[in-house]
Amino acid sequence: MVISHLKTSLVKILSLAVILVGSVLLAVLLGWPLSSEALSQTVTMQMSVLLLLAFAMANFLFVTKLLHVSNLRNRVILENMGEGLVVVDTAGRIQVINGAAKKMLNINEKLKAGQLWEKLVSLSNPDSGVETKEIVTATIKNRKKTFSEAWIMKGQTGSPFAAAVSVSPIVSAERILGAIIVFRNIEKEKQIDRAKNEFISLVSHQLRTPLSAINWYAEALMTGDLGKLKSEQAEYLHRISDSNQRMIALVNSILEVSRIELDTFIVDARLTDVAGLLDEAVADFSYQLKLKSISLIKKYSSSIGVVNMDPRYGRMIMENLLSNAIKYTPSGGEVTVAALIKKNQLHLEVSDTGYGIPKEEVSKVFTKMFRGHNIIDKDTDGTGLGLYIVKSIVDSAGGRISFETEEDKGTKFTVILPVKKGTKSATGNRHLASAKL
Amino acid sequence: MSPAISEPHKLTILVAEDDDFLSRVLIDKLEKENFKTIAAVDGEQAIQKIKTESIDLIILDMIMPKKTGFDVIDEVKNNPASKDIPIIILSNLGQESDIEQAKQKGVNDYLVKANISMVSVVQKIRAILG
Repeated sequence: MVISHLKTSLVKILSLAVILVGSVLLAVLLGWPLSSEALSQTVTMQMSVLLLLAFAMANFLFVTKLLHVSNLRNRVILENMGEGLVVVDTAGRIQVINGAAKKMLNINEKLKAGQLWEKLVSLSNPDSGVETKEIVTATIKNRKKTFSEAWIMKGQTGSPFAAAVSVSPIVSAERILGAIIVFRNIEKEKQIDRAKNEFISLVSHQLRTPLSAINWYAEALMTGDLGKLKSEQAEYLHRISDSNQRMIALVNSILEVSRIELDTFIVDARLTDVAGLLDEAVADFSYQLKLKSISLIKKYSSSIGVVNMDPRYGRMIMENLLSNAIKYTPSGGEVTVAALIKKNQLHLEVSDTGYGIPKEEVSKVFTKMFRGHNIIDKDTDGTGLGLYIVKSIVDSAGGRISFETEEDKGTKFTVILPVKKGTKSATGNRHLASAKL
Repeated sequence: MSPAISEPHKLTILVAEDDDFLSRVLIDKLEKENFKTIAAVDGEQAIQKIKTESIDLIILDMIMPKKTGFDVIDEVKNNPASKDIPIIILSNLGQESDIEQAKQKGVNDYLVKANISMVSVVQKIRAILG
């Protein structure tokens, strides 16, 4: 708007200058004492000047009209925008404010000329509670766009509300002219997010509670706390317990899938010791490894160290890949976990000497509920959700997943995640679907 | 952390759990493991018992009638007489936000019932009580 206003003034001044110069020229020509021979030439010249003046006047009127229409169009666009828009100059004085901004900030009267943005609006960060009043000044100073998905905004009156705010510097010919603040009330989105979370919490709680009861009662009987069981009774009880464990695993997987699909899975990057994370994930499977006499080989590069990543999703990736590798490797086989960092990318590999994936089914591996036809009769535990979950997490984190497989030889999954070598904790909450590490 | 007068060798555990099925089997297990137990069926009762009984550790469910687990944690931690009593959350709410919030409030451990055996719960209790 500032630029548009400057252009309008410039064109008007130029057009007026043309008229002025033309008028002076005409006056000089008319007042000049001429000889009779030169008269006809003078009349021709006067006619030309008049024509020029008429053209300049028409041009002036046309340009003025054009600019008027253009300004009107811009005003109509701004007034009908759903987002609030405010333009401030370098001192933070409001130059333009649209209707949506006035409505959201509860401004009913006309603003005084030179009204300061910072006096009119309070912005704060809901996580830290810190006031972010200086954000416009900082944007102008640093000439860098600032964006937040959930600042709390409040006008001089009215209630505070969650807002997505972007503050962009206005730069012309390397000169800073001010900043544009665009914002949108996101209270409804917040409410939907809360409803999604409540739904998942409720489902999670209600489904898991009876399963927990079955689990614990079966455990109480199996441990012999209530007396020794006959071998057949013990066997039946183990079957009840195993089925219940499968049901719990299924419910947990469905909940993870729901959280991914409803985008309620929050990514919280923090300093993470990669070897420690991998060791913990492996340790969770020590019982299954022992049960099937599977050798676990670790190949961690010395480069892995500490990185900034969300350890929980790292763990979910590893748990699912390890669970599959162990489940689909016959007794006495080998599972290898390898990790290295190359060019700010964490490479994780889980390979096994298992049943492999049939060639004709490799395209379906990451689809929901996929289970290879060669393993369905060998193992009934799988839910077919593990690799779907892994792929969703990896994709959302900006990574890649690939695999090599040969039936009855084994499978190797490789996950590549972008990470930063950690020196300082960088925590923050982002939704998985929008997360970029 | 003072042991009960009548049974000086037994540590007392408050089991705040509204589900009767779960409460019963867990209390049976803890008593077999030589702990003294006190049951609370809602948040309000849990707070009441914490104020009136000598308790060494609290096993706390999160979703309970009258007062939630979060309310109970706040009451316990804001009272100088009870702020040092260890709390283990035993809940089927397993979202990161719930776990993070409870840990920030100072609970010792957060366990998801469906994913843990009673033997492991006992191990966690012993690890905290020493």
